[in-house]
Amino acid sequence: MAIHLPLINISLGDRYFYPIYEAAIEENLPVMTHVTGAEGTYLGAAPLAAGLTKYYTERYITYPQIAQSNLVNLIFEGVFEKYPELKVIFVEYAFSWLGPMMARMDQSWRNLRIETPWVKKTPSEYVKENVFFTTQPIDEMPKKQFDQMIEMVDGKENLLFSSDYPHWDNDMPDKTFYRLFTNDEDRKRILHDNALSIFGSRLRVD
Amino acid sequence: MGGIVIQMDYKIGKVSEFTTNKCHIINIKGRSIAIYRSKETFYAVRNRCPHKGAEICKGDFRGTMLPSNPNELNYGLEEQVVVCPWHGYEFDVKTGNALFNLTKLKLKTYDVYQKNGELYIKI
Repeated sequence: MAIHLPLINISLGDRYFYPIYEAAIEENLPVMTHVTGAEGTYLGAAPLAAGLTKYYTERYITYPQIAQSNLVNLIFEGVFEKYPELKVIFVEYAFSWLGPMMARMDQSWRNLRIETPWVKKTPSEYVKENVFFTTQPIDEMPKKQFDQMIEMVDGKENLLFSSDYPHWDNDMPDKTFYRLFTNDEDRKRILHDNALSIFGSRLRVD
Repeated sequence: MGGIVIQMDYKIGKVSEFTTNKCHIINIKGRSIAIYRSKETFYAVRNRCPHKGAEICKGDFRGTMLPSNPNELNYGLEEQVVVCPWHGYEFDVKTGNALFNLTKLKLKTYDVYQKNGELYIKI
C-alpha cells in the first residue's frame, strides 16, 4: 500500500504536496508516482522538455525527464530535510539515468550550496536514503555496462522489482530480470528485501 | 626520510597598508599568498584554490548561508569565509578546511602576526 501521486505540472518538492507527505508519514506509507501516459500531452500535465513530441517513441523515451526534474526539485526544496522519514518511489521512469544525475547533483551542490543551504548532505545521500525506483523498464545493455550502472545507482539498495506484464514493453518476469541480475543476494534484495523495508508489515510475506 | 621544515618569518609590510576592503597579494619564495584583514585580525592563505587552481584572491571574503531549515536563510561566519571565484567553493579562512564537507581538499593557510606596526608571515 502506498499513496500514488500522478504527476502534474507542479513539482513534487512544492509545498502544495506537503499535507500529503505529512499524511503519508503519519500513516507510515511511501509515496509513489507512476507514469500515467498523459505526460507532455495537455496543458497541466507534467511537461516534457523541448515541447510537444511528434511521435510516441519520443515521448516514451523522454518520460524519465519528468522523474529527473521532480527528483532534483524534491532534493533542492529540502523535502527530505523537512520530512526525513518520507520515502518516494518512482515507478516506470527507468533508472539507468540516475548515476550521472547523482554525480551532477553532487557536483552542482558543491558549487552552488549557498543558494539552498538547507541541503545539508550531498544530494546522492538523500537519493540513497529516501528514493526508490522500480526495475521496469530496464534499459538493457551489455552485462558489463549494466553492472557498472547498477553500482552507480546503488541499485542493490534502491531498486524494487516490477515487470509491467502484460504491457507491450514489459520486462518478461521470468527472463529479463534473471538474465541481468545474476547474483542471488542482489536478486533477493530487489525481489523481496527492499520492498519489505519500505512497505513493512503491510506487505504480506509468504 | 623525514625532512626538516624550516619556518621563517617574513616582514610583508606596514599594518596600515593592508586595508579591510580587499584581498592583498604578496609573493614570497615564489608563492602567491592572499592576505585578508578582518575587523579583528589578519589571515593569510595560498592564492590558489586546491580544487582547480583559481586565484582565491579574486573571490569574495565574506560570511555565508549556514545550514538551515528548508526555505530559511541564516547568514553567519562573517569575515571567516574565502570563496573561490570559479566554482564557489567556500573555505574557512582560519583552517583552510572546506565548509560543510563540500570537499576534502584543503586551502593552505599561513600564520600572520603584527609587531611594531609591521605585518609578518610565517612560511
